[in-house]
Amino acid sequence: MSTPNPVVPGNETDSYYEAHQKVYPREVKGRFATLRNLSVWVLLGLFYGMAWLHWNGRQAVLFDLPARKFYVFGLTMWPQDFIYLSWLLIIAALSLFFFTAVGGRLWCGYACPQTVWTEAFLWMERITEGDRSRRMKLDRAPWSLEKFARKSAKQALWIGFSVWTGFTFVGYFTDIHTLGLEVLGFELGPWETFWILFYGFATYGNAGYLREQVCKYMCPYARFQSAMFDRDTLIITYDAERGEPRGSRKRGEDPKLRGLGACTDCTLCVQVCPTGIDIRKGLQYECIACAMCIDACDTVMDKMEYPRGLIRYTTQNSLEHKQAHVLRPRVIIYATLLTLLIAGFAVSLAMRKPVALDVIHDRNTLYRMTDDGEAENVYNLKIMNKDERPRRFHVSVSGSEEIELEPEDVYFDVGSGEVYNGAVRVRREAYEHTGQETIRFTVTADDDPNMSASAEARFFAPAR
Amino acid sequence: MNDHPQSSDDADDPARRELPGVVRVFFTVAWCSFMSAAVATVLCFALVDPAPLADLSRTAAYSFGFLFFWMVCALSGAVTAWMLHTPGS
Repeated sequence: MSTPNPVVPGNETDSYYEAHQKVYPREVKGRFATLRNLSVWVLLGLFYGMAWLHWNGRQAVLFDLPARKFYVFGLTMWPQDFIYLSWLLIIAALSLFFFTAVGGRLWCGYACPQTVWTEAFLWMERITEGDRSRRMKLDRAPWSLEKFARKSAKQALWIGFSVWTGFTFVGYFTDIHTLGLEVLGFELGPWETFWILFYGFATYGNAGYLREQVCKYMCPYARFQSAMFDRDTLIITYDAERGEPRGSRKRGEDPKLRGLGACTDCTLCVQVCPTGIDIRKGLQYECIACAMCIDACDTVMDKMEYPRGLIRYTTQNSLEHKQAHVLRPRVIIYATLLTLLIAGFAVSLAMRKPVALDVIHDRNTLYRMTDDGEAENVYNLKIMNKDERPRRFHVSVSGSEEIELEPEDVYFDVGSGEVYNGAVRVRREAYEHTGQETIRFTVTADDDPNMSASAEARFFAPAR
Repeated sequence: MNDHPQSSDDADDPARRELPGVVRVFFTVAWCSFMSAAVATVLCFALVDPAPLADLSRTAAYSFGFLFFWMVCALSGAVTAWMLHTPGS
């Protein structure tokens, strides 16, 4: 056989898969752990709490899909305002670029839902199964009553929390109070049930089991974030110059005498890592910059009475004793674009007209001749009141001189956040030559002349 | 493009050089089509109101729409993966 590497079924070489090894992150205390816990509490608090907030007698934040209206506190967004949503997404993406260029993977370490929920699930794992070594021992141990009890308790907490998460998620898309009552009365619709379970299951799987694999294999951001990096981006790194050669030593022993660096090779930085990497091997794409290894290393440095920061936030340039730059072209470009976009968003939102008008010519008859010999067209006006309170709108029409409304004064009362459909009649005498013209409808709130909207339509009439 | 190594031990760790297996392809396709379907659903229903078009509640129409997009995107992804896998590779 001339094949250099024969592939034999069952042979180890026919699989190139890296067998997944479960990561058991060790609990760590320190500055960054506190910061991350704070972030977890704030973000989860916002997610679970905000759904229950009320504003002007309705849910404060509600993406009311069944009604095609988005409420964000005082704002009501309609499908016509889709541009704002896209704009907001662009702002979010650019902010991510900006913060990545300056601070590295801050998003991954502190704000990503994957990190935040994993942290919550780890906490539940810790209170039921114990700390790192206990969890490892429990997983290795044969099934016993205790193992069964601990695992069931964990599953109960995980599943309960997941279902609650799914419920809250769906509660942002359909009124959460109604949803709650439906759950209590076993009257939940099939789709609400499906999405609650779907999202709950996704939470359970992602935060309970997949964890760091989501970051390593599934996350698109993890794949392209390095494109925003340069030599002045904040990274978490091990100072090999100071740490090597690593080795264990007794407290108080002078490492220089033994030819050792500052690293005691205690491997705590590896044990606390939620993605299971060794930061001392250098920057790796698996690193989500959670800074847990910094906290772990700092506690050891404190114990050994060495200066902190063997593992620290730094930049590649300062690590190489070069000048560090905060303001670089890419940072300035991202910042300028971001400022412009945010300013534009704020201005256009502030100037956004809380009323919109659509005019549709009556589909059945083009025109009708009245007894007085005038041509009459009927139009359907669709007035959207996006304001927080009901308004009374006055309708007016402009075009050639003879164009007039019948009757002359038309008012429509439109409730807050409602669409009003009203028919109006427009008359004029028949044309001399051409048979049509463009007319313009305007609706104006009778207590606020600034609140108005207009739309064009065609007027048809026979020639005289 | 990038000054930093993507992974410190990509080169020397054979376990990292993964070949696509059926399971891996399945989950990759499922996940990528899920993301694309989410985008497609938002874009589609931002422009089209399903209520007058079908005898369905909006919630049901959005859900079916999403599942439909997911299916179509997954089909595209699966065929792409299949086509990339030429006989003999």
